[in-house]
Amino acid sequence: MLGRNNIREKMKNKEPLISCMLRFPVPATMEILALAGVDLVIIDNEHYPFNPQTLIDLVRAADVHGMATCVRVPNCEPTRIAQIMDMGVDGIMVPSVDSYEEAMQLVNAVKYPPLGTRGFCPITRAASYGMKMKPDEFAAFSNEKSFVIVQIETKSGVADLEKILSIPDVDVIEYGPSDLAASYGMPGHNDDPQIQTIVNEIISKALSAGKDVPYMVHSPEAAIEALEKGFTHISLGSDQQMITAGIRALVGEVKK
Amino acid sequence: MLFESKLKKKMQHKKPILRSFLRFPDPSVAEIMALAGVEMITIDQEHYPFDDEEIEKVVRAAQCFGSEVLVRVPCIDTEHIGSILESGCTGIVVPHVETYEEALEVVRAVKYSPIGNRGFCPITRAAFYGMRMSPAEYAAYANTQTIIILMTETKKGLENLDRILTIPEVDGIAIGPSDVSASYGYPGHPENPVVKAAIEKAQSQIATSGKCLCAQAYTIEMAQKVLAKGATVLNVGSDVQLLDSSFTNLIDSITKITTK
Repeated sequence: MLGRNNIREKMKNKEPLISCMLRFPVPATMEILALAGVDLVIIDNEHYPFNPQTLIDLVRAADVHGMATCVRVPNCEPTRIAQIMDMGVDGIMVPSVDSYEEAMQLVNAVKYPPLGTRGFCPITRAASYGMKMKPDEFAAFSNEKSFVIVQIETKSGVADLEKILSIPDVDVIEYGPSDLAASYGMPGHNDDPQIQTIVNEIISKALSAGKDVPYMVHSPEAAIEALEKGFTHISLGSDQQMITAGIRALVGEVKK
Repeated sequence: MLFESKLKKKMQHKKPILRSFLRFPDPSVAEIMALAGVEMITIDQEHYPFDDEEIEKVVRAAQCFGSEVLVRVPCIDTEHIGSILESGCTGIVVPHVETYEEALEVVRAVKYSPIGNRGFCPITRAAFYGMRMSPAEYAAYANTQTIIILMTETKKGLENLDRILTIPEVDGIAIGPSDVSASYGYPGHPENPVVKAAIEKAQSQIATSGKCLCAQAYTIEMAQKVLAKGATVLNVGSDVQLLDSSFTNLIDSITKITTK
């Protein structure tokens, strides 16, 4: 539920955070992630199908446990973003943001005036059906609590990075090594030194601009390494990856 | 998720509880009820269609805002009751209970061994997907948290009330005035002296037992009346009734202006 666990504040204060992506439309999975101690789940509606009714049930499943939610939508289309925000999610993530203008479009879609241009309905689920706050209080509350994640995955996104980082309501910067490598003409060469340099630059610029930068890990050792490097937000992959890894390992053992 | 039940504690201490029936299978309605202060949302699966998945969604919705769900099932079907409880709802309401034996059947369906024989799967939603306690701990815990409310709605049921009230696992009893009047041969006349006397006797039997008397409180007057009779679980009406009365009242008053 928007603002219930102060996730944006935790991001700003660099408190330790664990996030994870959800790719299967199963509320029980959401609850298992919450019970396991995940702070924020990002529903991947860029690459996986989620109906609106399913999305709202997934948000409820997280809300039972006070876990924050975010939805990755495919682009900055404002109506869809507003509809998802109306469900009570805490944030929106957009992939492949290529310019300052695009990042502003996203902020405008997530925030109410005076910060943005989101359509205002103060009796949605996000607004507790109008039963807890006055409309103006809710608008201010939503603007204060909602967060925005921008993914930098292209050459033009990198070129506009400093301007994007100057936007106060961009809270989190993610980078996509695979897409970056492709956009620099080296698909599949994520480890190429040039790509590595670019990734490191994105991270250090974003951190010094005060943004939250999630660090993706797939093992406890990698998590320790990330924490030692000064990252506070650890991202763990997705339900799909965990199921794949778990079942592969088990089937492999049994087949032996 | 069978969270520690506030309702169970309140019932044990006979503290007043506000209850409403949910008849539309929409989690948003449950959330509005919870936000409005309904503590016990009772899904009416006896008279309205609810799929198992919808029940689980409503339970989650209620839990988002600190409310709890009971499900009124159509009849005593042990396996059905067991599967409903896996949603993490707090309890079961059973209509038309007429005998001590039937009441015991409900207890067996709701409680795990050694009290009952509810089918045991310790990794369901009710059991926190097996992530919070050991199976043995969960079984014992669930037996202390689940709630049983029985409805006695017939002459026979009222006559057997004394014995039904001796069952420790029964938490509350509701009397259905319409059905009671019908079973006494006066359908639609709960105010008939014979029916009225039978209902009042039953109400005082329940109120003076260790059980909670559940009663209808659709108006302030009704609430005062049943509180005076010792009721602690107050049914303020269902989504259907409240929608009906709000629309009707509003439309009536606006029509008066528009037809002037």
